[in-house]
Parts: sequence; C-alpha cells; structure tokens
Amino acid sequence: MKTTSADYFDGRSSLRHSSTVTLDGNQVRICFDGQELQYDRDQVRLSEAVGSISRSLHFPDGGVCELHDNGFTACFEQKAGGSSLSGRLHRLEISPASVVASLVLCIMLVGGFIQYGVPWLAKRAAFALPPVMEERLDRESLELLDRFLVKPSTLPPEKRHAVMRLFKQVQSGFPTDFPYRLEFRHGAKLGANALALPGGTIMLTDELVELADNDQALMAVLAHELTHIRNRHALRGLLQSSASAVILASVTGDITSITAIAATLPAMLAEARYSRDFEREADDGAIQWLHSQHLPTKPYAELLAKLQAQLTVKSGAPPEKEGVRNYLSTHPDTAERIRRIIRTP
Amino acid sequence: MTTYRTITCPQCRFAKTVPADTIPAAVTSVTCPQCGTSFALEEPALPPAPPPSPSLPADHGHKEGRHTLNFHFSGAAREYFGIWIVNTVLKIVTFGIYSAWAKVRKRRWFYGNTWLDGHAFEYLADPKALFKGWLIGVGALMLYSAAGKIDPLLAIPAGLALFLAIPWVIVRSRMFNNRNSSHRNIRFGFRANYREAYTVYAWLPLLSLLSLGLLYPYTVYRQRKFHVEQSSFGSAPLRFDAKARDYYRVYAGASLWFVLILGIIGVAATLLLQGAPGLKNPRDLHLLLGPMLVLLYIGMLMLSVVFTVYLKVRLANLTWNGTCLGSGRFASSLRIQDLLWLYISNLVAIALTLGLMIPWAAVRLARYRCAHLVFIHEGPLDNFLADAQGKKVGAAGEELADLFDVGVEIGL
Repeated sequence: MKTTSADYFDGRSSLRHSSTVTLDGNQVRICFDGQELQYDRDQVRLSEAVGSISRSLHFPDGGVCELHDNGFTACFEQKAGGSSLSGRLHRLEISPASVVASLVLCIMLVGGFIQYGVPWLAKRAAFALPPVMEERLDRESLELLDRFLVKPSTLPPEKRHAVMRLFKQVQSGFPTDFPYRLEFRHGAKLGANALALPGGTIMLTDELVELADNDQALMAVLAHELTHIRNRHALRGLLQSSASAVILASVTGDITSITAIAATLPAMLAEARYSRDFEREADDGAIQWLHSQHLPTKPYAELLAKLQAQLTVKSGAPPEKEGVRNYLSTHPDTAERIRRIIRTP
Repeated sequence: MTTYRTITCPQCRFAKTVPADTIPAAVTSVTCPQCGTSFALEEPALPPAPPPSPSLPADHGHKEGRHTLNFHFSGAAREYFGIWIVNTVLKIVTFGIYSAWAKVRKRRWFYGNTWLDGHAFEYLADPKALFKGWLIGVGALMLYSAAGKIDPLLAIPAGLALFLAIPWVIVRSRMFNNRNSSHRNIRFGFRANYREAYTVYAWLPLLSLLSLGLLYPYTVYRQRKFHVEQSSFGSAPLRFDAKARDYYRVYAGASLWFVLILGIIGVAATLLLQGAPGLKNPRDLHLLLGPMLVLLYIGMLMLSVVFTVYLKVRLANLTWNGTCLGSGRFASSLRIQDLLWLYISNLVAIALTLGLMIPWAAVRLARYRCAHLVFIHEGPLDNFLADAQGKKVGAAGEELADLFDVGVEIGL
C-alpha cells in the first residue's frame, strides 16, 4: 500500500481539491473533502513521463490527480508491469549514454547524407532538369563571365578554325543531347584555362591554346570538358553546394527553385571548385576518348605538367602578381592526375 | 458591458461563473446542479469586471483583491537536449514516421514545464491520431507536388485549392491543439467559425494586397481577434478588446525603424565611398566592391532582424494585453532589446554549433516568454467550468498546417 498527497480536479470545474491518493493492491483510492472515490488500477492511466515534468493519474470519469511524488509514480508503474513504449523512450532520453550515442549517430547520419546522399540526389536532379533551364543558365553564366572576368579572343582566325576542326572531331564521339559550342576568350585573370558551362558551351582561353602546341593535348582537354558537360558536372556541383536546394528539388520536384542559387554558378565555374571525383571522371572520359581514337595519352599528361610548371613559377612571383590562375589551380592534385593518365596504356 | 458572477455552492464548493444579467432579479435561492443543495443567493461578491483598457498600468501588483498570477517556465535545457536528440535521430531513421510521437513528447515537455498558479499545463494529444493526420498531410503534399510535375498547368488549380484550404486548415489545427491542452484538468477549446476564418485568412489578405498593404495592419488585427475570440478555457470564452488603431500604431513604428536603419546604411555607404583614400582612379572602384557588399549584407541582416523582432514583440504584447478571460486579463511585458539579444545570441550559438544549441535556444525563449506574462485575476482560478460539448477533433488539420507550413504562430 502506498499513499501520497495530490491535487485532484474533477474535470467539471477548475476547483482544486487537496486529496490523498492510495494505491492498495489493485485499487486506487482518492480521498478529498470527506469524499472517497475508488477505481480499478487497470482503469487508471498514468500520464507518460517526459523529462522531469510532474505526472498525473487520469480516471475513467474524467477526473485527474496531479502527483508530486516520484516514489508513488514508480510504485504505480511497477504494479502496471512490463515497460511501455513511452517508458522506454523516456529512459533513452534521460540516460547520458544513449543521449551521447544519439548525438554521435545524428552527426554520422547528417554527415553521411552530406557526403553521399547530396551528391546522389544532385545527380538525379541535374539529369532531370529541362534543357531550357540549362540553356538559360549557360547563357547567363557566359554573360557574367564576359562582363567580369574574360575579354574577347585575340587569336588569329586561322588558329581558331584549326581548333574548331579539332573540336568537331572530338564532339562526334559524345552524345548529341547537347548543342555543343566552343567559345574563344582571352583569359586575362583566368589565365590558361577551359570551362564547361551547363548548357553545352565550352570556353577555351587563348592562353591555353597557345600553351598547348600539340593538337592531341588540346583534343584531350576538349574531351575532358565535354565529359564535364555530358555528366552535368556544373549543375551537380551547383546543387551540391546547397544541400537544402537539393532536398527541396528532390522532394517537391520543383527544379526551378535552384534559380535562387544559380547566381553563384559563374563564380563556382571560375573557381572551378569541382570535386576530385568530377575531375577524375572527366579525365577518365578524356582517356577513353583518346583510346577510342587510338591516340597516345602522353601529350595530355605533358600539357598538364607544363601548366603545373607555369603555375609554380607564377606563384613564386612578387605578391602584387598574386591571383595568378590557370587550368590547374582550379583542378587539384595534378601529380596524381598525371600519374593516372600515364599509367593507362 | 457584461459583468460576471461566480456562484459557489456552500455544500460541495461547486462553482459556476455566469453573466450577471442572466440572473433574474427576483431569484433569491438556487439549487446546486452538483449535489442538489438549495442555498440563498447573496449579493454579488465580485466587483464588476474592469473596463476594457488597451493600455495597462505598468505595475501589476496586488490591488484591491486582484491577484497577479505569474507564468513560469521550469524546464532545463540539458534535459530537453536529451529529448530533442533522441527524437531527432528516431525521426531520421524512420523517415519522419516518428514525427507524431516526437511532437507529442516535445509539447508534453514544454506544456508540463509551463506553470500558472502552482499548476502546470498538460498536452493531451494522442500520437496515433497525429500520425493519421500526418499520413493525410503527406498524401496531400505528394499530390500537390505531383500535380505540378504532370502538367505545369495543373499547378494553378492545385495552388488555388491550397489557398482555399488554408483557412479550414488553420481552424482545424487550432481546434486540435486547444482541445488537447489543459490546465487544472479543464481543456481549452476553439469554436469552428469557418465563415470568419475565410474572411480573415482569404478575403482580407486579398483586400490588403489590393489596397497596397494599407489594410494589412487591420488584417493582422482581425486575425488575432479571431484567434482569441474563438478560443475558450473550458466553457469560458476568451475576449479581445485591443483596437485596430493600436495595430496601425505598431506598423507605423516598425516602418519608422525600417526607414531609420535604411538611412544609416545609406550614410555609411556614402562615407565609405567618399572617405576611401587614393581613389583617383575609377578603375580601382572594384576594390571597394568587397567591403561594400559585406556592409550591405550586414545592414540588410540587421534590418530584417530588428524589423522582425520589433513587430513580434509589439504585436505579442498588444494581443496578450487585449485578451481577457472570465474576470481576469493577461498582461505581457516583452521588451524589444531583450528579445533582440535573445534572438541574435541564439542565432550565433546555433550557427556555431551546427544546430546543437537549438534546445538551449528554445528553452531560454520559453523561459523569457513565461517570465513576462501574467494573468491578473480576482482570487484563485477555481471557478472555471469544463465545456460539456467538447468533442474529439481529428489531427489532419494540425499536420497539414505543419507540412504545408501554413500554421499560425501565436506562441509569442
């Protein structure tokens, strides 16, 4: 038998009755103002525990008893036998061990989602984007790049025609779901560089064309950029940079909502903060194309080495010339990439 | 103006509050509905209800038998962290199915830690009912997004349907939440007045749009009025006596702040442009672009935070101070500078810990809110009666409001 004092409310008025509650075997008794109510314990519901809030007994006639005695609730629960779902949840929530475990699990789940879930969703979303959107993004990015970063090309027309012929040759090896275009620009701040825009436009800087005195190397670069386009790397990178946009796009299917973050696309392309995976994929695409044409991979590796050398020299320049960039500053791990390219027979 | 009388049975202490003018003058004795005792009706013991006044005296202490009952929040952030993190993980691993249970546990904790006159509130919703509502909500959300996918033209009727559903959803959600909140074992209630709901949530917003925002403060006033007046504690309706012109005053103040801060940003930008040294060459102007953008960003952030907090605080005070229940009324004394500090420090703490301080932020907000809300009442809260007509309410509206994010925030 267990007795405690409690506040009883009959459920009809807000009047408080000071009462005593007694748990006697299978009976619950409440005494207040000279009255006594008695119930079977099975009919009485103890409100579920959350944190340390005070708990109450709910009686079948609508009456409620607010308890202030943890010993009594423990006794009542013990008699109820077995552990309910809410009881188990409550123990999880108050045990330091399970709280720490939940914290670790939560961090792992969120981290795993950012690491693997977001790229996967971004890929699906990027491939689902209507071509009209891609063309618009492409056009707007090119306009912004023209306005702020690059200048009109100064290459002689005959050189441009020669490169264009190479481009046509490489392009024939890629799927035709994009209206591929090649644009020549004077790189200025971008240096020797090549960018792949989402709608199928490749921007090649004069500096890169001049540096690559070898047609095969230039074709490899073009194949690399075409792979970026074919695999929607620009868009996927854009989507990945904003996990919330990806989730929104995947859940609602409303891909147009990415226009909100599309303004960052030119900056991202210029910085080319592509993931290493994208670069590896694009290199593989270039190597595959070279193989299919029975062309050697060595010139491509040599071009990369040359770019690396240029970068190293320029970076050592006085501070006012800081900000020197080229194809490689935006494409990390050159040594590893060269090794990969050369290793493939 | 209605005055209320509380008649208490001397035998069983059963009490009932009724409008004084419903008791015929000739009646001298009454019979208690509870125990059947007949007793003499005495002269009104209560002074008449206070005249409605929008501006409350600053000191709400004990005055002529009036009691100031303080709200109080007793929850500790550390305890809530455990509840929050366990429920978050469970929500993730069950793909949201668990959210109904998580919601009940969260609300039970917040309600159970909110005290008025020595008694905590209780949240009584059944998670299974909420889960059914959640399923309906998810179904509707999928249907809604699928409509746009199948045919962009379908998005128009779908959007229109959503717009027309909002008032209904809001009413159902309030009904569910009030019905499942109780204090002293008396449940709150919300009367379903769909006609008024469509007026304040569809018709008036449309008119306010057409009036280029001139009707917006009036719309907000009518929405708050609607929420208070449809609500009840047991059988006692809540009353609302704030005036529309007070809402116009709040929005005028907010606009003034808006213009003031915008001016400060403008002056700062001008000073920066003029004061920058050695800017003879216009080509160097781009060097200023960085600092200018940073300044603009910080300025805009400040602007939106101050604007939001100012409106939140003043609207909350205005609404609570206009709310009466029985012979008592609420008094809210939130301060803009306090809440500004709370919001900014919460934001910084949440950002620096990648969200792990969310429980702490929620608890400190609840503590501050409760510490600045009182109920001024004659005597103890003993004479409210339950609403005998109270029925169970489905949770579809509540979950639809959550999933479509059309819930009305009346917390603060």
